[in-house]
Amino acid sequence: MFAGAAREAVFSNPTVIRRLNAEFIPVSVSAARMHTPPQDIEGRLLQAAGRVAPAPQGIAVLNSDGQPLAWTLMFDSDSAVLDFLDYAKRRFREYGDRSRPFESERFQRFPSMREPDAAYTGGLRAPASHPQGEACPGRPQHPKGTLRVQVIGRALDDRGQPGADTLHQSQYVQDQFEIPVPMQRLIAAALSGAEFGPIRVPDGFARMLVFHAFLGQIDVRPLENPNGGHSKIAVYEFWAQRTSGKDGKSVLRLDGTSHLVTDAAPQGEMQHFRHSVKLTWEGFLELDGNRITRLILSGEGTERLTWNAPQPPTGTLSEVAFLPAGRSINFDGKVRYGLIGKPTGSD
Amino acid sequence: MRSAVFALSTVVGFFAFGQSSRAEQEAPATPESLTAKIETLRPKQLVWREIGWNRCLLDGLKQSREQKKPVLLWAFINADPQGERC
Repeated sequence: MFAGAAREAVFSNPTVIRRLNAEFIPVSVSAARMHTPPQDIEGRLLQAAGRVAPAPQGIAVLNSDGQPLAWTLMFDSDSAVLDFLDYAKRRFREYGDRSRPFESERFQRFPSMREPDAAYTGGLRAPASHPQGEACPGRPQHPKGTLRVQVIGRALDDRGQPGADTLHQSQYVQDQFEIPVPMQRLIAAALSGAEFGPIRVPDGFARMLVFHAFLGQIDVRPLENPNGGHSKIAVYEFWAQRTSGKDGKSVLRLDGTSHLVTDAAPQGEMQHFRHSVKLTWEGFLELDGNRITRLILSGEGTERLTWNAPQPPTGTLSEVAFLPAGRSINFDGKVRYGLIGKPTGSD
Repeated sequence: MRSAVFALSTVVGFFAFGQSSRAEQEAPATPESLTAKIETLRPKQLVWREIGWNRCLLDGLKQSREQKKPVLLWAFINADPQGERC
């Protein structure tokens, strides 16, 4: 939830955007790289920075050697975010290089909830780049031919048009997934009979198609809920029929339906939520031999989502003050999803 | 009489238009028409994509040294918030 809430409440503030682009070097990384055995110098730098972090994830200011000058997880208010940027620049002016010793200043919530300072023990010097021939782990490479599928989902208004809110994931989502070449071969083989009449799409592929089609943050995912939510209904079915093609290429029409219902009662850090997504799908799958060359799929229907975030701290109104908890959601309306898949290297 | 004919033609025209609109709506989808429909979901501007996040720390530190600016590091669990659900 932290990342989504930070994106919505902190990094969508126009002043923050302008200042980050002008006065800072914004870098985003997966926190997993701070907490797993490092594979390279970048991983070692991240692990050293993560050792002094007050939480597994957060927002830090680093000097040019990668040493954390400060960490925070939340902010007291919207104005405290801007104060943090001023504070970060002051810290950088004082300790921008390793000429003066310093300790990392750490906050659960800036500036009111401070934790003890922590000594940085990295002692590393950052090279200018990764060794020649090695890709940055932060920029994953996909083997040629991998189908990259972009998912877009949006709440519809009363007239059936896409709603205006594209900031909150309760109204607009985008996501992506990949279909590796070996899996494409299996899918193509399974659908080889589609030229003789409609055949059912393999369950594993159908599951991939509906897996990302939902509003809200990762925590409310209907299938394989990451927080252990119970799947009450998980019904999805797609059929494929060849419509055209020649010389080994073919176009299959896809039709399907899906109905997913998941809920979870409060348990530990898990918040209460209930999620229902019911969609009717149509689309096309283009094959060239045993490779998927294009996937186009549109799903439309209804969705209900309630997510009860914990009450914010007394006297606090801003979402930036409780980022890990996120904001409550109560959505009940029409939705449309679109999936567009293209092989890597085809853009 | 003339007004009755006009009214009748208006009613006939209205229903004819309605049938045409329905026919257009029910026309079988093509890959192109479906792609266009999906593209209407894509916003022209996404405010949270306006920050130029660098995914490579080494590259960011190099820029920090060259431009004498601090690095603002956003470390997140799960998916990449720049392009994925998070």
